[in-house]
Amino acid sequence: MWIEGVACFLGLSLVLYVLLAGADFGAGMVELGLRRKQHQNVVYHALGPVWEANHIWLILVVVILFSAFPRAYAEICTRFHIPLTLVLLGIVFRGCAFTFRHYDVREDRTHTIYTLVFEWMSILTPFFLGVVAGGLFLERAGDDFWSLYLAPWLNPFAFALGAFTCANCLLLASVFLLGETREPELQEEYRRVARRGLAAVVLSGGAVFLAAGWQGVPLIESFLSRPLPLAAWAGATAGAGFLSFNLQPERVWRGRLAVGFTVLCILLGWFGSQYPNLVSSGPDALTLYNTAADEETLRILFLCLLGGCLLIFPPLLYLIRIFKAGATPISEKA
Amino acid sequence: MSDLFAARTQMALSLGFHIVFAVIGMAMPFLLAAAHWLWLRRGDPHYYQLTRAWLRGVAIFFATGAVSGTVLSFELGLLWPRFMEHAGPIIGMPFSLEGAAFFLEAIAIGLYLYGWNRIPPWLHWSLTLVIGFSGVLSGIFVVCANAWMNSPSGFDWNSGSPTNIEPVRAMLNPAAFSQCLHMTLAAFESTAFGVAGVHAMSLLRKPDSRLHRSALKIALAFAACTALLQPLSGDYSAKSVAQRQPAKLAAMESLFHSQSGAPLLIGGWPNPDTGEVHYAIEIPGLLSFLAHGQWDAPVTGLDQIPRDEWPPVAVVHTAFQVMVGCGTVLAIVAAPALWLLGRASEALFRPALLTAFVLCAPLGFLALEAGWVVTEVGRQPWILYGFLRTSEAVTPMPGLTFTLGLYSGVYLLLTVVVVFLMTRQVRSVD
Repeated sequence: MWIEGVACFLGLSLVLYVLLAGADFGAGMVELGLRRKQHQNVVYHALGPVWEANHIWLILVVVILFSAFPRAYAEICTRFHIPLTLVLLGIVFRGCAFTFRHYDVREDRTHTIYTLVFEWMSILTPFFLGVVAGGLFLERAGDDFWSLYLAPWLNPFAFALGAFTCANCLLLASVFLLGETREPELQEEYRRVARRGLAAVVLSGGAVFLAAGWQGVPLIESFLSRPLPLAAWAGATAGAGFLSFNLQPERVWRGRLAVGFTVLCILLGWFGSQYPNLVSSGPDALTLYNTAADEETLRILFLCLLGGCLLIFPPLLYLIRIFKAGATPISEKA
Repeated sequence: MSDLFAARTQMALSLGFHIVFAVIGMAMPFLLAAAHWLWLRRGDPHYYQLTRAWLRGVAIFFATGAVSGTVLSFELGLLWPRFMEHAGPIIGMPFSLEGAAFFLEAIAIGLYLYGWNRIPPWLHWSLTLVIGFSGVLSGIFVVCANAWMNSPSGFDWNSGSPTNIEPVRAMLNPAAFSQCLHMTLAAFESTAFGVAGVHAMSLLRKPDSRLHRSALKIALAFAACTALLQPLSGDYSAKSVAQRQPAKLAAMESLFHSQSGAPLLIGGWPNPDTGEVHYAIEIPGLLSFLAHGQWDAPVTGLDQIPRDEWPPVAVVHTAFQVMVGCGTVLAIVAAPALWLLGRASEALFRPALLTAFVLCAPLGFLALEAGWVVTEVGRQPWILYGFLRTSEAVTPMPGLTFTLGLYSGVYLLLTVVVVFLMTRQVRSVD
């Protein structure tokens, strides 16, 4: 029972990371496509107060994994050492570039460098996180360096999933940013990006299934054979459809709920099709059950997480309320 | 370079880089609280300008600290998966609590930055204390996890893996209090002397600046108090280490031969092969007295430790001397500084004293890094003292020299950029 409870927190943390940090990463990608000063301001105002907090969901995923499912954590860190290193590079450079750009006292050519770094690193991290997620589906065979440390992630399926992740981030960000600006020109640009993002999600999603078929990953079968992923697939399709009709700045919250629901369904589809496997599938799979820590540890972890939620969510909601009331950050004032 | 050595070096670089930003993030909110409080109480605009100037620095350091902390949480697994496989469930709790504290801190920072005219002034001010206390708590939880590595508790070890895990007992291990106390004081001491030095340098150029004068006074208050308390904390820590990790104490002091009435060494270069220490100043009996409270108490030397369990003596000893040396200098500067502060004396701003403060600026951070070398290298060859060796814990993936090179480049680049930014920041304030 505690295993399932902790697994729920793991899933919740992952969902929050994808939704919130996904929009965060996507904003950097949107900047790359649209390249204007006003975008940078919109992005800073949108992300500014909350982006520091977004790291925490990823850290929470890591902590839950090593506390509750340590063997799976060790295996993931060994097998995917290289792509995870790239993810980290992206996180470090992106975070620093974003902050430095805003807090540097003078605006000159260094700002171009910060911007370039911020935008490209915004692609690197979600791409390789997607690659790792894809790699989790795959078996591993062989004892040489290639089979152990490269093949698990350097393949079309994992890369397709990396692209799919980026497409989702772009979609999340453009829909979110649509509601963050009053200027009609910017709104129209965000709408265009959102439509392209939606198309990218559908196309890259198709590529994921194609690559799965080509590589012999039983992805379609696992979706069709279980009720949850099947329902999630249907939900994602419906959500995407609803979203495409609600990309108007007047209907900000409908659009946001629709995109959040769509991405949530995509994630639930993933969890549902893989459950209870964490790494690989078949008889050698590392599952929630065969990698779990002992019951006492799980119980204490679950209670800590529950306590943490109760402690954290009120201040978080207060922050969002204050911020959304149109506050300007102190650094903007004379 | 062996993969194990590359992994150890990479971890050391990552920790060494992160710690600077982490301590600034821990201590600066309290300095900010002082400046902001003075503005609310006295209304002088220079307090407001000081708060804003410090805020910019804090934001830059906090962000860099946050991302380097994220790197560390991954590196625990990327570099030491076989350690985390066993230790993860045992120290999961302090890490989860650290995450919660960090999250609270991030939210409070967001509120502080964005709520300037939206929240009642004194409530807004109190956020600096929320940021500060959650930052300090965050540091304490992480240090508890590190303390557990030095003083393992809360589990039974059966044929290579832990059972009967008690996470609370693991977190509240025998080394936790001494390490947390020493580290928290170190965070304030190093940050405060660093800030004092920066403002002292500005005062040498602009002696009449009210902003820099107030900044120096606030920073010195924190610096002087902590610098005088730190030797007491250090003494307590050393006594604790003498009980729990005699090999570490022996390496710190280069004590090759167990003896009663053991001498304290100042300086000196140890030769582990011959068991001699060259060029050291010996104070007879002082080590026995400091470690165990009696001049003739026996102190365990390296001769009672199996040779394959010796830490790298020269590194640990040298780092210890550097740490104590820096700490002593800071305490010597702190005493008159505190006296002059208390009397609100103008002598505090004489060029000679200002120059002293400028020279002291890096010493706190040097002591900080040296201290971490003492405790981490002094624990080798163990990653979990007495249970698991570092060599048994490292990732099987080869090619770690490459990742070491990569991260070294990253940290070097970031250091350069942060220094560049802070230089521009300091110049703009003037």
